[in-house]
Amino acid sequence: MDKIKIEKGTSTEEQIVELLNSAATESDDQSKVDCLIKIQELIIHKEPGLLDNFVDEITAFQHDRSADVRKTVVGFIEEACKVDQELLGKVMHSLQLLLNDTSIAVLKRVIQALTQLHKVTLQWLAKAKSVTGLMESTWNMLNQMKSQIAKMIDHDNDGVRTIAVKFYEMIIISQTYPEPDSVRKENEFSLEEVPLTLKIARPRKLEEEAQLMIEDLMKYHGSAHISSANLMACMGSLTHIAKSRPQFLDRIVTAMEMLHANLPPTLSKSQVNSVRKHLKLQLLTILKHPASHERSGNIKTLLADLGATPQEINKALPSPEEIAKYPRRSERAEDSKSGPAAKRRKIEVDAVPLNRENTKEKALSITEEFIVQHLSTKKATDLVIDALPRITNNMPPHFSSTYTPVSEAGTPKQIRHVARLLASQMTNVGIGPGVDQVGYTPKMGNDFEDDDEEMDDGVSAVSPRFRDGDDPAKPGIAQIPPQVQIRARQRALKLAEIVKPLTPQMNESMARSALQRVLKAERTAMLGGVAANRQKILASLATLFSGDFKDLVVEYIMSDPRSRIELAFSWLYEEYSMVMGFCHQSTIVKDEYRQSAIDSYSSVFCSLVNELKKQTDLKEREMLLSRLFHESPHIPEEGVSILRSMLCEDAKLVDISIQIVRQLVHRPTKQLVYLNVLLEISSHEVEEVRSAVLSCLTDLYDRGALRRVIEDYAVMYLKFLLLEEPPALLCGPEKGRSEIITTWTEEITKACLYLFLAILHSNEKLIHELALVYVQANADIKRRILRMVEGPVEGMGMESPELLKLVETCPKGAETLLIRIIHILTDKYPPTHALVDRVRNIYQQRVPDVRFLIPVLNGLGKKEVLSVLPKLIKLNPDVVKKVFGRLLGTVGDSSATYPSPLSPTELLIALHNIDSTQCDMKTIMKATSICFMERGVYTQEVLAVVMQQLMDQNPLPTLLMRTVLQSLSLYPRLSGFVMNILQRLIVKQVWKQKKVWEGFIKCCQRTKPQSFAVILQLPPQFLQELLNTSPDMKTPLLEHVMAFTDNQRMHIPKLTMDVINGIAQFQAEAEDITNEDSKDKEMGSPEPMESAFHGDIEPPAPGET
Amino acid sequence: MNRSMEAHNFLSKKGYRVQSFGTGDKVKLPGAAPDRPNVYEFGTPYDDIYQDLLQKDRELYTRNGLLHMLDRNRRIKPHPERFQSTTEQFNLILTCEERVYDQVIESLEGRDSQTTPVHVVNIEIQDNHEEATIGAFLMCELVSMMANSDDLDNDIDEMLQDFEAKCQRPILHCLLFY
Repeated sequence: MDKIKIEKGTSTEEQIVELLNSAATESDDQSKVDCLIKIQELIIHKEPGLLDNFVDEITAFQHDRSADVRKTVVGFIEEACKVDQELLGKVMHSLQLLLNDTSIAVLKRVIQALTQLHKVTLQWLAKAKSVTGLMESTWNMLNQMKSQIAKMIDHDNDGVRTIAVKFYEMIIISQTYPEPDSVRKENEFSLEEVPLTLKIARPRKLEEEAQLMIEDLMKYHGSAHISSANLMACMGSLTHIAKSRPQFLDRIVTAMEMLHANLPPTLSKSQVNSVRKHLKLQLLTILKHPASHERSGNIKTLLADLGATPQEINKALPSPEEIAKYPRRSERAEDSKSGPAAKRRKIEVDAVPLNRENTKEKALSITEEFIVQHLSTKKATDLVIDALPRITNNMPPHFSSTYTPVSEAGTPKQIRHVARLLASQMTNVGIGPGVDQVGYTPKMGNDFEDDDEEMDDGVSAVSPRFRDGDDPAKPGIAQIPPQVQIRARQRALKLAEIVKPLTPQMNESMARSALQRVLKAERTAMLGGVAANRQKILASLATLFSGDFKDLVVEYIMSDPRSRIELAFSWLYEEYSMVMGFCHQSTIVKDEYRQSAIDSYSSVFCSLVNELKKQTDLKEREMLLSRLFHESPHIPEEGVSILRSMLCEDAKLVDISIQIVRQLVHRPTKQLVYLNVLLEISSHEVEEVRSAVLSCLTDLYDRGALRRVIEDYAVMYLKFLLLEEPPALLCGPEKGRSEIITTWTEEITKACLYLFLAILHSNEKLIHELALVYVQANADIKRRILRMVEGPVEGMGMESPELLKLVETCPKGAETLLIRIIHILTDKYPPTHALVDRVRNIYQQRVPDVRFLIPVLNGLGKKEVLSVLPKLIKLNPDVVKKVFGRLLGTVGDSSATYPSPLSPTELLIALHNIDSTQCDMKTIMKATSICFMERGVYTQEVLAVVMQQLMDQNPLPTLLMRTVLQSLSLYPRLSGFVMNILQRLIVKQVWKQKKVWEGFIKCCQRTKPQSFAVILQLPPQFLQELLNTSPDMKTPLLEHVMAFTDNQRMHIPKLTMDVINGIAQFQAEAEDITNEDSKDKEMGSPEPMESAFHGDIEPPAPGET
Repeated sequence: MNRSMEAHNFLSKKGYRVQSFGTGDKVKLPGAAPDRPNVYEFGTPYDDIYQDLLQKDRELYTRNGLLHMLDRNRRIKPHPERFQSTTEQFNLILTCEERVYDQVIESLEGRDSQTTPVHVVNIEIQDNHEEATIGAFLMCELVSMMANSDDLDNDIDEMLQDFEAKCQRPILHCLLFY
């Protein structure tokens, strides 16, 4: 604005140049548009003379990038041409280019402009004194565009169709003749203005064209899928035509009646309301026109149907004077038989027979007449009864909105109205007497073939006429009208046009509810015998959809897994087919899709498994789970990890999962995977899990399957024991150990051994591995190994060649292990010869550790045992006890009695005979007391035998008296026997061995008063010694002797008596030293008395006194 | 004067180019009794009407909100306008009552038929202050939807259906031409 003000002084031309420059340089679209509009204002309203100078410059903007600028150019062209028609020739080409513009807005603007310019062009031609070449080419161009626009009535864009309808309206009005009662408007153009002499645009030809176009327009108006906006535009246009060209009014009213009876089914409720309202307004408008008088009855009934009040209708009715002003058209047609009008009429009438609409109308009225005659009350009742079953349960939405109460039911008028409605519907579908008589074939919007035929008819019927009446010298022009007709007149069903893509949410929710319906239809499908099909459908659907939908199906299956598991399988197989590319859908499946298909498969599989795990019915759950794993086409990795977690996390699922894996391990391709699952869990913390897995593994191992892998794994674990600290892979939730353990605890040590020890039984060769590891392991671990090795070794048995080999080749450091093993083996069974030999070899050649021999003692010879006995008893008392146990057969099962190289007697005697240089007395004493503790073995008889045998030895064993004493204390009943021994000891001159003599004295002390008889037999000096040693014996002894009868006392030597009486103590002592030789003599003398004494004295037992 | 002006006010504040019109013969405002409305000619300035009512019964017209309304109106434009008298062309005509919709269509039909399309849309709004406010919001929503469309002629059918479902009021629509 500023610029313009500044430049006010300059000439308009300069201003325009300035504006053009700025429009060209302006980058902003809106500013360009503004500049162009200013130019338009300046030129058209201020200096039209400049138009010619600048039109080229402005039309140059038609190539601008901006649609708005192009639109402005079109507007300029339109205005310019209205001012100066001569410009038409110049700009038509630009318009033709713009008509092919990609922008819908520009396209619409061009059509709008052409709607105006068509009229202008005709005017230009009509006024021209002679037709120039330019005019002709312009007209040709316009005709081409006309046919192009005519086709746009089927354009994809609603707005373009609307504008095209208006274009039709304009052509129809401007290419027909007005009638006296036509409503005339300013600027209206009609054929009246076209001179008959105009060669390039013959009025007759133009009128024919208009006839065809109104037919098209009415067909469009009645098409089934017309949009609400188009329909209203169409109605408006038809109303305009009806008013401007009353000759079409009849047909237009019929068309509207048809529309009323057959509203497009695609309209929504409110659109129906709008359309009905619009229809009402249009009919009221038509009713106002005097020419509608003949049809006013029809129109009024229609209006009443549409809800118009009588007042409204009356208000719209023209006054009688007005009607009277115009004669009835029928009469008028007869009146006007002369003059140019007659000629025009004739042309019009000529054209009519071609017109399908007229045929239709005729058929309609014949049918209507027929119905009126036949529509009795009874017929009506029959019709209603017939139709009743077909009435839907629910009121269709637009019924309620369109229904108006029947006001004049039963009157002839209403019957006629109903008849007309029925007739129009019948005619539409091609039935009724009218159709038969006239030969009308219906042309339904959705019946393409009919339309095609009809179009062909139209062309063939019209074309010859053109050829007849036309100048053959100008074929270019002659061809144009056919072009107009040839455009696709049928309203093809364009799906893209009448349906809108659903919103994603809508789409999804509809798909979801569809799926849900299929899911719900289980029973119905079963009853209908299509359960299998349904399953197939569901499987395919579930496969094709994603996410939520899959969840839905999973949920559905899980609500009754037992009966729906088949669906699950069918689904899995479907998914699998996708993965493998078996389906036809998957022919396009590329690698990336394949990956997603794999993902989808595994997610489905996992969610099925996971959901199944949650089932409460345990038996069913197990059954289904194992089916799922065994019968699925493929178990994804995720499935394996679920299996793994089932194994180690859920105690209830362990059994079933082990069974599953056990089966799966036999699948060749995946063997290792499943084996690995088992192996990993073989060191599980929880006993139940572990033992189940281990038994499964050993079973597999025993069957020879995958032996090597299991073995390697076991050895690998075994070797972990040599590491500084336990490897991390032993810990973790899947092993039942949630915390990381960094030291070799008992548990973790065991964990490394479980599997190994489990299969050791089956493959004894492995024992060598164990030995090697044992050698290098630290003390703690060694101890644990020793503890754990028991069971497995027991199972091996002594005969095992591997074991014997181990014994033979025992690696250095593994001796303890070996001892332990041998121990275990010989615990219950006597050592075999082979074992004994090997052990003996080790002992003799390599490791002189007597402990080696312990387990095989029983297998050794007597001599050998005796030779190692001193060493043996030097061991830990517990060990000694065990050794004796073995020798005595008291260890282990009582039933396990096997020959011992030494009898208990022999053992005890051997102990007594151990040389004190080899072993100190204390140790021997301990060993003997161990023997005494075995009271089951060392009964009084055994001890008596031992003592007897010891007595026979010479010299007497040092420990003899100790043994005697102990035996006595254990078995007091032995006292008699002991007396016997004591007596024999005297004979053996017991006093000569100091230790034994001490023991003798002790024994006498213990066994008093029984021992008195024996004591009295001692040589006096030794008696004296005895009494000296234990003075407390003196008095009892004296009393004992005193209690004797004199006769008895007579047998006691004098010396002895002296000693007893305390006399000759010294002599006794002296004699003890000097008369050593006489002892033998003395000893002999008392002997005969022994038995006598014995017999007499024995009865009073020590306990009884 | 109430509903259209409320919408006019609201829409122009949102930056739309709006004009508001009546369609009756005269401007009618409620009076002291139902049968005695206050009637003015189109073109009578709002200010004059305001003064007139103020002088007639200040208390009544304050209570029923007329004075407030007139005060608002005089700040928007000088005086009421009649649709039938305007020659201006619009892209969209919104009406608040079926009767007015009919009158608009009648008026447009009577004009010289040209080619520029105009959409006429009716949204039922009751003639009271609260409804007028709600109506203004509804109109604004509809207008902004339409303004955002690249190709209104093509989209309007669907748009109106959506809008109708949303606002739960009957919608009338037709396409006319200038």
